[in-house]
Amino acid sequence: MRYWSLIFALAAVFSVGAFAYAPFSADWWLPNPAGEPYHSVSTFGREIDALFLIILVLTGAVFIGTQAALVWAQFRYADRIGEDGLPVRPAQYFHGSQRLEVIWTVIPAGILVFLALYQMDTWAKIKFRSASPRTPVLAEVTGRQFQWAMKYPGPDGRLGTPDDLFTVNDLHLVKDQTALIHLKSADVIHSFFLPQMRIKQDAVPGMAIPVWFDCDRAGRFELACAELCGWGHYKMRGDVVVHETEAEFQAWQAAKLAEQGRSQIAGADEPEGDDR
Amino acid sequence: MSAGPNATEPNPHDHIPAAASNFLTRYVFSTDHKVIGVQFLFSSLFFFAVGGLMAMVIRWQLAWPWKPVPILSQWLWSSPGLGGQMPPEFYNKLFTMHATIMIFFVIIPLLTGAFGNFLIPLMIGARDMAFPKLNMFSYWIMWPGFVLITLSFFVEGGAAEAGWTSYPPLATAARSTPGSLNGQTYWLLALLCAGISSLTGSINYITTIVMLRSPGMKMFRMPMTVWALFITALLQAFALPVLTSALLMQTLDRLAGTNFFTPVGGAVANAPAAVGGGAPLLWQHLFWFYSHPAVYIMILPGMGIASDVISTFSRKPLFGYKPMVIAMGAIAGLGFIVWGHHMFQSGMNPALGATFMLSTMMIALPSAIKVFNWIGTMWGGRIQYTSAMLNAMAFVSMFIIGGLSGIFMAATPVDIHIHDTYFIVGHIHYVLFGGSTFAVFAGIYYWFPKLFGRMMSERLGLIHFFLTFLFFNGTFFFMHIVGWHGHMRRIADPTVYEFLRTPGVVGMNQFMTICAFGLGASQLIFAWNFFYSLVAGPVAGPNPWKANSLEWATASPPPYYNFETLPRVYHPPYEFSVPGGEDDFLPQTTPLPDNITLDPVMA
Amino acid sequence: MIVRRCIRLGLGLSILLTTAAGCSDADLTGPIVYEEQPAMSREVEGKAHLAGKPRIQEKARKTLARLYGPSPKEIHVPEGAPLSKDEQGRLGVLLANHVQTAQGPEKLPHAGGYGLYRRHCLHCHGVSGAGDGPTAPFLFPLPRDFRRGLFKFTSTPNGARPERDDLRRTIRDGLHGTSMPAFEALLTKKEIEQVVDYVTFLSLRGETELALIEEGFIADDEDEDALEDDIVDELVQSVFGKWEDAADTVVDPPVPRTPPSPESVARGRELFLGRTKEKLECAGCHGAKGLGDGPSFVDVDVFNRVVFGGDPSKMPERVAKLDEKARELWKQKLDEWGNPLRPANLSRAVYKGGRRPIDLYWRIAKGITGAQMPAHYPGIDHAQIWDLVNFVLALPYQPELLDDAPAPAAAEGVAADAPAVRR
Repeated sequence: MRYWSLIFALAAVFSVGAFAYAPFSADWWLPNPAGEPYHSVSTFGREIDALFLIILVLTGAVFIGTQAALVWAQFRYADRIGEDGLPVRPAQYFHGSQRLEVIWTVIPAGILVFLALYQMDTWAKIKFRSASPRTPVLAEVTGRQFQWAMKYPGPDGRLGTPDDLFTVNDLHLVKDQTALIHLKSADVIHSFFLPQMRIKQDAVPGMAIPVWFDCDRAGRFELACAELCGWGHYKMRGDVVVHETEAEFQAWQAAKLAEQGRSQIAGADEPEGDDR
Repeated sequence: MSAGPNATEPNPHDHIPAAASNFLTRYVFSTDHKVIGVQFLFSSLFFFAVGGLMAMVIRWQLAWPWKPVPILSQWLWSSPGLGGQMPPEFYNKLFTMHATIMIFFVIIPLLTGAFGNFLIPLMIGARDMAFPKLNMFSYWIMWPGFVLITLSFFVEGGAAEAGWTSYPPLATAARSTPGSLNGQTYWLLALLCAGISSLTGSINYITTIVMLRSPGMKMFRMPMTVWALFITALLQAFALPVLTSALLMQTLDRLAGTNFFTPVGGAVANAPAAVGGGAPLLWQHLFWFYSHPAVYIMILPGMGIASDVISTFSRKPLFGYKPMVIAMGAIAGLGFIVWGHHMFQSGMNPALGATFMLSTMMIALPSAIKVFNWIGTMWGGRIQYTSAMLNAMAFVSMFIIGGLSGIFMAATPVDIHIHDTYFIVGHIHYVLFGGSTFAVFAGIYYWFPKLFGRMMSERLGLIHFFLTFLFFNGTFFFMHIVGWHGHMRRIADPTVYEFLRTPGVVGMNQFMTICAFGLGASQLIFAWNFFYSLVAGPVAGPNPWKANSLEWATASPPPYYNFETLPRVYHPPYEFSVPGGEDDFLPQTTPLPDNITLDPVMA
Repeated sequence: MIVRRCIRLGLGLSILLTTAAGCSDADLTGPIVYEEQPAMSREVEGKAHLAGKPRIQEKARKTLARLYGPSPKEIHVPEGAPLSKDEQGRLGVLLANHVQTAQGPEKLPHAGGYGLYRRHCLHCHGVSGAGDGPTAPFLFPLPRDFRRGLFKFTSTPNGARPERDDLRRTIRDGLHGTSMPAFEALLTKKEIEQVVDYVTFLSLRGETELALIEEGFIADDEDEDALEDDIVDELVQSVFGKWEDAADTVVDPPVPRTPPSPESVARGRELFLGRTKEKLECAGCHGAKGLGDGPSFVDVDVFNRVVFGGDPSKMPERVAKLDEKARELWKQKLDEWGNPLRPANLSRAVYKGGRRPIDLYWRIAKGITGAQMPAHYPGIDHAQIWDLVNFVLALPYQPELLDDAPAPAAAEGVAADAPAVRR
């Protein structure tokens, strides 16, 4: 009978094992660029990852402790019937322990309050409007069924003028510069999710929500929709391209603007962009 | 079955009512709480199978996107022109209806409807509920809900597909997605029915528990299951009116042209713009003000059941009975001020998020206390590995995982990354399957003899538990890992994203799906065991588990009036292995030996 | 005993599932068949049909299967079809993930148009490209029916077949303001080429089907020679010819865009309001304020009531309830495919066919194939078209341009979605 405890032990070992293996596989760990599975590309990402690890270690320790106690109790105190058909050992008769109750109330409470307070600063830095950077807006991003419409201010640096650049599912920013976007929705609720940069913010119709982030690696990343928005929800994938330099970004923008202003076919209609 | 004149009747108000006269009033439109409980049990188990099948189809699509599901696809949704492929909106319908059915038509009716109805009067020593007719109403009002939710699949556009959370404007704008055309209205009305059922039920439970306890049954002598159901009923009574009004508001938005949840000029999919003036976030606040307590509505009765089962099969008093009750009260109280943690990324003021983080962290505390107490209960006992006990222990073991993973979401910065990913799907399944459903299994194995007067097969029960436990972990554990890898929930095709079509993620998705099928197949053993034992199980005596609480003091199954004379209660139901006693249990109707005094703080 | 049986069951199940997982994308599709034009077997009012001609029906079906393959899983490509070739000169290699060779099927290193179409397009555009997938009825505008070879947003003259680049652009950038998503972030360039080929293939097949029906309609069911090979050949070649001609007819504005000066915009405004000697009637449909609510089109409220006022399947009944005048107008204002149509609201800066000046030039100069927008060249000259383009592009930023224009009573109806751009 007591061997039933092993199945519980197995579940615990499996859980711990899976979590312990996860960091050693890029596919199992937090989403990071392919070449550097342990490098989080954004400032907020690194802070979030650190907090995540703290919680992971703390909960892991609590998990191992409670599961060990549970499995031990199951194994040690399993009923055994002797030769005479009577239990080998009687059950103890007690109703609890005030001291234990106090201990296992106060210690977890302390840990939990610490965790909550320790997170506040990062949370404020990422989301509080008062913390938003004083930089010009990179783009206005509007979710609509089922794509992300991007509007860049263009050369005059102002949104809502005829030189705005319009793209779809194509967000461009510059390495190491904080990108500030205004997030809107044209129809239902969407959610702007940059897995590699650990950014997520719902886009709510009727609201313009500022979102800011940075990235310290040039390259191509992914933008996803994380809030159910209808039959094409899974289709709302966008490309995020991080340029090495401001000049590269400007060149891209100029090329895109030229294409947006095209009035004759002359010259091959060949938009830039690599072949994935 | 006549009660006969009761000569020793001490209480002039206690009389045994006449038995139901015909088949219809005895078994169908019955006011007997036990029959109503069994009715809830059967209808919920039926919907459990339906919801489970949906889950497997969902898993199939996630593992092998767009591949036709064997057998089902041909007659459920596919036309020859589709080649058995599932349309994406059908996938959305599936996960919406899976969650809706499992939450509102399976777990809540099973725990509060089936166990609540059957157990409360028996465990507190009452003849029936305080309002038997209201009780009957609370079951039969479920039926319009059952009918509407089933019908919704056959209306134009099909069943609702805005998720079980039904966020507007997706849910309110008729053209936003096919399921919002008509199905959403059916969904809203079905939920209204389920809500009214829960509300009338909870009024009944509260009144019954407050007014109809048998002589000597003080509040702190009630079994944990009754305490849990009592606190659950309080939660429902206070939270449900909010959901009911929110559902009505959304219904009005859809049908009467009001604009509670529509922003100014809101237009979706080229449909004419609404006048607007409402706020989409208002729905989220109202919905979660109910639905967060609803999570506790779904777990508290499970905690109660697990406490009773663990104490009985450890042959040992419950560790810290009163702290356990207080912890449940704390969960219920705190449960009302944590709803905002579902909305950290919703556009709600982030300063509010910070306060909700603190309250959410604190609600982990009473849950932790309960876990420690359960382990304390087993510690030093004589653990008997029955099917019921194993399921109750699985409840504790899996609830630890579900509880700990909740801390990640409570931490707002970490939640930014894992919000709306599979991490949260894993979390809720560890709480609702690993927690509530194992508790339901424990409860069924434990009270089956009392329900039907026959024993279930222990052998099949153990096999069922073994397979369910293994496949359960295989199905849901990797959700945490794909979740923190960024796998969004509710997407029909993860392979659209580069970071989700790597071999590791695809492999985990396929592994989870295979385990899900194993999990589903294992339930066939349970179904066989349940129905076979119903007709051919060995006959159970009144008290097969040698337990203390009052329901074991009467026959199995109990007569319609429950008790010949109302029993007198002398102590809490957890006095097992009392030193000096002949048996290792001491029913509540037997006084404690003189040499024993109970700890006033703990017991 | 029972344990062992269960373990065996579990093992069997997992083996079954893992083998299923091992198969490639296209292999596991269930039985999938093309849907026929209703006119193939039923009487269709006012159109050619083959009702009551079982032999000709049979011949048409066989011919279609011989030319294009019997099912989407077995694709045949007729000689000379206007589709991509690979380096070896093999036609239609982009359509599937394998080609038939003398040695049997040869695997190709791509998913193929069929596989991609099935995954990304089928649920709206349907198996035959009829625009009748399961999601389609709930969308407005409805997805395109490819089977007539007509596409709205092209660079070719009104009514002509599209150029390959037009289809490519539509798939890549989507059609803003409709339910057609942009696939640039979902498909690679090569994959987009495969989808373009498959869409073309479905169009060719659909056009051939229609041509066979029309040919059969005038033939006698008893006639042994009806739809014989050389007639079919001729039909197919004529279908292909139209596609091959498209590339040569692409409209390239001969003069570059006039700079968008206030003067040019003002000239465009006069043209729009019909105050020049050409007497354009833009405001008649697009409305005096450019809100898409002109008096010569179906009233906005009526339109919304009919299209959005209930289940899509009940739309004919809602049309039938209109009074006679409105019903007559309704019938006139349908597009080529018989679907309801709405003039563009020019104040929203949403341009379905693209926002480049050249896109707007095409829309104005040659109209929109299948829609009510007529070709304006040579009615007005190139410079005037550019003035109009400049005006249309300026309007969302300067709504005051039309402030003094006479406002029709119905203009209030759509005003609510105007702030979308001006926020």
